[in-house]
Amino acid sequence: MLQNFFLILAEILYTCSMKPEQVVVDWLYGYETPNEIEGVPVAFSTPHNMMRAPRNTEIHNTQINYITRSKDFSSIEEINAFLNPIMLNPNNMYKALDEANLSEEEIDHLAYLEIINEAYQSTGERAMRLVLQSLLYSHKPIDAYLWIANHLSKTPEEIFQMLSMAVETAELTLDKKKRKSEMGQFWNCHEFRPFMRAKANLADFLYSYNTSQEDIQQAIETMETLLEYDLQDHMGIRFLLMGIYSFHEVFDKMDALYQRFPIDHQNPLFLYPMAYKQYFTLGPSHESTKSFLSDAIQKNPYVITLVLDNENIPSYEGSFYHKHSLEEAFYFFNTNYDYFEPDDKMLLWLTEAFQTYMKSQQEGFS
Amino acid sequence: MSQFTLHHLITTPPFLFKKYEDIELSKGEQLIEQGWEMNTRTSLEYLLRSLYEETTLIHHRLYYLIHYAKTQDEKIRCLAANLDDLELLMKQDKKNKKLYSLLIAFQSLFLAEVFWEEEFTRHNAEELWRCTYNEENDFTDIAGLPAVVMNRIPLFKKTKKAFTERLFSLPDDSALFTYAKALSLYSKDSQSKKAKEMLALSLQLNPNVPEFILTKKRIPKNPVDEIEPGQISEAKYIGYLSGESWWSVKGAIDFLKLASG
Repeated sequence: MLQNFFLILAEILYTCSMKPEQVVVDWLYGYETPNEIEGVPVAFSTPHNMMRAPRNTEIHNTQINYITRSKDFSSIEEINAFLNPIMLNPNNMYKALDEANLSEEEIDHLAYLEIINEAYQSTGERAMRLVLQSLLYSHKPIDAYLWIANHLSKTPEEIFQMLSMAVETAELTLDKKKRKSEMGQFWNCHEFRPFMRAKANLADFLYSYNTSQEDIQQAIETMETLLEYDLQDHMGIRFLLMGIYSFHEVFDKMDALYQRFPIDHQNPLFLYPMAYKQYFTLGPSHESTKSFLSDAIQKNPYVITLVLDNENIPSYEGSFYHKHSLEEAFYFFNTNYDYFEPDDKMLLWLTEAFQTYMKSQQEGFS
Repeated sequence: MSQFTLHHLITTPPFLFKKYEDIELSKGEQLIEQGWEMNTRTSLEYLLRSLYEETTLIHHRLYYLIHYAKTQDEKIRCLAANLDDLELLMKQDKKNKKLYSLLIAFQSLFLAEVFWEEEFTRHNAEELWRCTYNEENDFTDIAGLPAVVMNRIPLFKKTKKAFTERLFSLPDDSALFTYAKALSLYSKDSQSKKAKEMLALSLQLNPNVPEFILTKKRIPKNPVDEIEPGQISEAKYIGYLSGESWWSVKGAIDFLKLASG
């Protein structure tokens, strides 16, 4: 009852206080954002979704790469002049691919990408059939292995084996020279994305099943490495790491992560753990602690309502969420659930902060 | 007594041959075995899950080929990759060389069937049959192969005398052979006495066959798994194998119609 009351009240107050344009303006978390339409809120992909499914754009990027690699463009205008007709008409893309003299392996790779992409967008028997079909077209079906691990594997042993196989296979796909030249921007390189996903999946699995300290350590190290591979962290690995550091009270690393991504200084997935850290290191009355918590509540009041009535928080199974939404709060607990079990003192701190927030909202409303 | 057709043997999964030979199945193969004969969804689930232990895709491709592959390109892709994998396995696992040789032969014959489906690739099938049914080959005794080839010879682009002579020297003890022989004799000489005698013998061995040849619509589109000599199952199989051949030889249908009354 209490939970419902808080949720409904928070929703009413928050909705009333929002200016419509805010929903759009404050978007950029650094995530890849599908279906972005001007004036309409964009749904964010969860880091888990980012690591588990290939992006639609990957086929397109691969096609563009194949048709442009032999060209010698001297200016952006020249590139645009070449690409614009191709982008506007899919038939032109097929024609350009025909003219690109692709090897059999490359033709197969494109077929594989289309089939596996369709598999990820399907369910049940159809998805399984497509995954099976994808195996015919690739000797390194990394995303097919990931699909099996995440959808079919029954035991931790099976999952671990499948994910390890995906990582080993992915390692084989990396060109050593390119690995060096693309360091820090692997996500921008379409060939490296399956590798990134495979590593992230294995790390997430090792952490989630945390059977040993070694596994946990390996998971953390892998996630940290992923941040080096992709400095902008398109997958959102930093949000998982923030939760993990917070749970293990690795406060110096939390600070470093927070400093490294100014783009997320208003992100509740960063603000709540940071408030928690400040609470433990500086105490509840410190201005910095108050400021972090106040900002966190402002950005997503659902999180605190769920914390204050900490029971039956459902695991968020969705792939996307909207900023400031209940789904975002649920997703927050997917990565931060364990540590948010407040003692009496902490509960008081959170309740006071929430009451202050409610009061300010009421004042603003009236 | 019923017997498996060649079409059944070439679609038999390798794990079953391993079991016949008392070879231990891997964990992945055990999963594949559990799911192979179940409903499609469960079969697919077991097949895909098996990948965590199974390093080759031979079963996966075979399953896809049997149940889903629609284009010839996809079918050839499955079989060509399986043949590559089997050859590699044969080199790696010399102890089971005989098993892998047999599997290679069956996958090659499956490939011949795929080539046979399209008129413009039939010459490849002929070539594969000739290679498999070669005196130097260990597989001259592959059950059902002579019948499959003999019943299709009228449609061959190139017929090599020695090859056909070897096939037609087989005893006249099965309708699977005798109908093919009758047609072959008739195609060479429509007044041939031997052809008439061979057809009469054929009708004695299995009188049900004309039913599955004389009307184009009744020619079976798919092979059967098991046949019993003299029975409907055998007649259907003969119809499947030779229907097109009978219709391709001028006057042959009337010859059969007349003989069968």
